[in-house]
Amino acid sequence: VTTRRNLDGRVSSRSVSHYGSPPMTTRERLFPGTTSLALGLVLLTLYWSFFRAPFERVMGAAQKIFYFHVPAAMGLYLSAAVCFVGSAAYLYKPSDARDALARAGGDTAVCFGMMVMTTGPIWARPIWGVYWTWEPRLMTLLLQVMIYVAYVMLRGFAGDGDGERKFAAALGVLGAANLPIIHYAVQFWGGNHPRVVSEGGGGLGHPDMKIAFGIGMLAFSVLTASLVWSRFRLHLTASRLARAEEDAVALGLVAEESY
Amino acid sequence: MQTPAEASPEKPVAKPLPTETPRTGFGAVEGQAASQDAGPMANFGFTVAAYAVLWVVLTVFLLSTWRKQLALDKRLGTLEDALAKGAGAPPAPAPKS
Repeated sequence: VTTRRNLDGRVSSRSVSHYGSPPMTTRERLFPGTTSLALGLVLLTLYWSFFRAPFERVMGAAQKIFYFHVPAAMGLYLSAAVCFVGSAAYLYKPSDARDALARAGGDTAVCFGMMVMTTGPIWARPIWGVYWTWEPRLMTLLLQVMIYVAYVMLRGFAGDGDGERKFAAALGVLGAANLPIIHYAVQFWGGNHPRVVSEGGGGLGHPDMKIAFGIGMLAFSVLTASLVWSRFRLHLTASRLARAEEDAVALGLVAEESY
Repeated sequence: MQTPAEASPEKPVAKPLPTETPRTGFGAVEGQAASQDAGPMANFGFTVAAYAVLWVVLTVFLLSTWRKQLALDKRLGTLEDALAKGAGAPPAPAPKS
């Protein structure tokens, strides 16, 4: 039902249409394919890192965490970039789609942040002897994850009004400022964190290591796209539902307290 | 009189982190003999734990998204039915000012 309103907000006319469940478009049909591709590539990474890539000469089996830890960090960066773009676009010209994109980026950033923040300490324990140390890259990354946890909690619990959306969008924009600091923290301030594939790193010493890492990066890129898309769809559906509920209540079709 | 430190002499002290130069490259073990050594497999439990955590996080995220999407679609369907049935009814009266 499409509702037309007068300037004072009263309902003047309506016509039937769909709010949130239109027929599947070609773009939506891509989603199951992308998700399947992402999971297939993740499994391929698993196979290549465990069965093809050799053990690292100092770290042994623990180094194999690298093939998921770094791609997950890249997923965090990509998701944070999506949140930044969606938030900036929303502040420029508010719309449900832009807000949904920002929220999708924030949610996915928390997911990848959890992966990085758990696999990292598990890797650190046998190599450094401790799960956690207050060194620059770890601290800046922890701060980044906390920013996105705050963003998700704000959007989840503080309501869905225009003010809340704009406040969260500002957080999404400002939160991205920490991303380059994480990346360059090791170079600026040192610390124990390895720098293998970034500037000044010596790289991977075996072709199968490089292939496993390359597949991992590709897998997590596709996975990021897939997860962001799924959350975008979720938040957009929620927005459409909220609009439909408002109209249904305004038309007197449902009681206000029933939704 | 005993000081607190003397009273609990076996209190564990955090080990300082080794201040070695951070790794800048990963090299493979050399030859068959090295891979048969028990060394490389010593930390295999940590690796398995890390991968398990990663899959749990991913699964929880995917399942929660899927369940929320299903719930939203169901509510939308119910609401659309209500809206479609009510589309032919006269508009609701304007609120009295």
